Amino acid sequence: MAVDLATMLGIYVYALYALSAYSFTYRDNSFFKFAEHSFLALAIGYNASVAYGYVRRTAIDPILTGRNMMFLVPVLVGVLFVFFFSKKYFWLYRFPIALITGSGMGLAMSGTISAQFMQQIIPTIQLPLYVVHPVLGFQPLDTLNNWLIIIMVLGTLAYFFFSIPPETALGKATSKLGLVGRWTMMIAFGSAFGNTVMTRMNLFIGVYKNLLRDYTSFLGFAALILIVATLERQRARKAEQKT
Amino acid sequence: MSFWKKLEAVDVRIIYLVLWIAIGIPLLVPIGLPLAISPDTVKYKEAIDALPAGSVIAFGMDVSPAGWGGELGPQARATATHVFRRPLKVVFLSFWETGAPLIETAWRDPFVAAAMKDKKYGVDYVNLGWIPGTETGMASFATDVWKVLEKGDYKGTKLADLPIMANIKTVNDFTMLICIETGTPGGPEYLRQWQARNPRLKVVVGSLGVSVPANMAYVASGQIVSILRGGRGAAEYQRLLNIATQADVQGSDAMTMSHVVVLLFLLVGNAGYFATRKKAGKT
Repeated sequence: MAVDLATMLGIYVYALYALSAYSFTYRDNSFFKFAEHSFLALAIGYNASVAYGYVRRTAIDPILTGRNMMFLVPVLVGVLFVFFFSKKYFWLYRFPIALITGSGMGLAMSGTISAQFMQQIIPTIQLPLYVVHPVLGFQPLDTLNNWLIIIMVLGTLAYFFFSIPPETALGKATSKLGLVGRWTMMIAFGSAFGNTVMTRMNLFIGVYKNLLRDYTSFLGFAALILIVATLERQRARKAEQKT
Repeated sequence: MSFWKKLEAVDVRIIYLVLWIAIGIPLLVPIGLPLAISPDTVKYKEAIDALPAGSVIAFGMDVSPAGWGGELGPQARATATHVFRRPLKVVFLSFWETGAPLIETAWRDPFVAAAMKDKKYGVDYVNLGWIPGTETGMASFATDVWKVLEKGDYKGTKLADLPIMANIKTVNDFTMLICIETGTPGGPEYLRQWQARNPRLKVVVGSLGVSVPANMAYVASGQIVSILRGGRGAAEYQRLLNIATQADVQGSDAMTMSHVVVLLFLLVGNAGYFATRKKAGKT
């Protein structure tokens, strides 16, 4: 299958950047630094251009054409961001920050109470402790699951409950329940860690599959980066020996 | 130096090399390891299958390119294939500026392209592109879609010229939200700003593996109907839809191999730790 020049160039650039980024696992080197810096520049450039385009279409154009002068207010508040770079007028920078933080917090809180507080508590309270399916009958695994949820939720809450003196009988009972909470959290952290590892591996596999689309670029760039990194390592060692 | 001490002092680059080799083998030579389908993936598919014909669904491509290759890309492509195979009205959008271009990337997948062959842009589906403002943008979109999109769709076509948008004014006009998410804003933010306003909105999430434990609380409470768990969820879904290519099968083989290698390292590392600790205790 014939591959056009643009596609080939894309594959080579991809291979060079992917291998440059992964070369850090061997050691820090010029290729890695180049990939890191150009990625940052690209990401900032992309975000800035997209944001500029949106602000121009949404706010600047309506102001300039007189369609909606109300946009002057947020645009002027937004301009105050530049005072971040002024020692004298830094206080002006606080207005847009306060506006964003305040509106963001208010907006998040209103939904949080419903979606992340009530909607979590109500189903937990409603969990049946003896699960019976209308056709299949008693469900031991679902029942066990519900019991575990209840015990682990209570345990985790008890772990963070500090208002009872630990020397009292109630305090000792709370501490014991808190131990269940500690184990619960450890299991949750382990699960989170396992999932993190899986994600990193999957992202690596995605890159690896793309690299294998063209062996010449993969092997060629890998060899080039390895040689450069090794030479740089030798040079760094010699410099260290001299000093 | 004892064997365990040597193992503890092994150069980390050896571990990386072992991973490159272990993952590379199934990518070069297909093994065809078995892959069990989890109940979550089945439920995810069933939720889309159960939608009545003509339902209007939102497809949030809230992703960054970093998570696209191994996990979210396959999830998005499989989900897009599925929704286009069904008689649904699909509104694509993104609250991540990096997600908007990836909507059309997903459409270029051969399976998605085949499924959308008879669908008409603006009638059966639309790409609204990037909507800025993260969670604030979500809230604004939920209350007044047309006001937020005065600029038009991704290419600048006015909403009035898109028949699919005629009856979509607020979040109440959507039956389901499919959210393919990298992070924040993602599933939890949609629940706060969309589902809190429209409690009938069914939400399914395709998530990076790293976000799965956090999202499972919402699955357990029923707020999220079901979830695709990272790359594995994507592989399961592809097999359920019968769209897994040879490369996809090789990818899931590589995934299994990588997990086996990590598990082996964990076992050996722990064995070494306990062996050296026992020895230190004796001396």
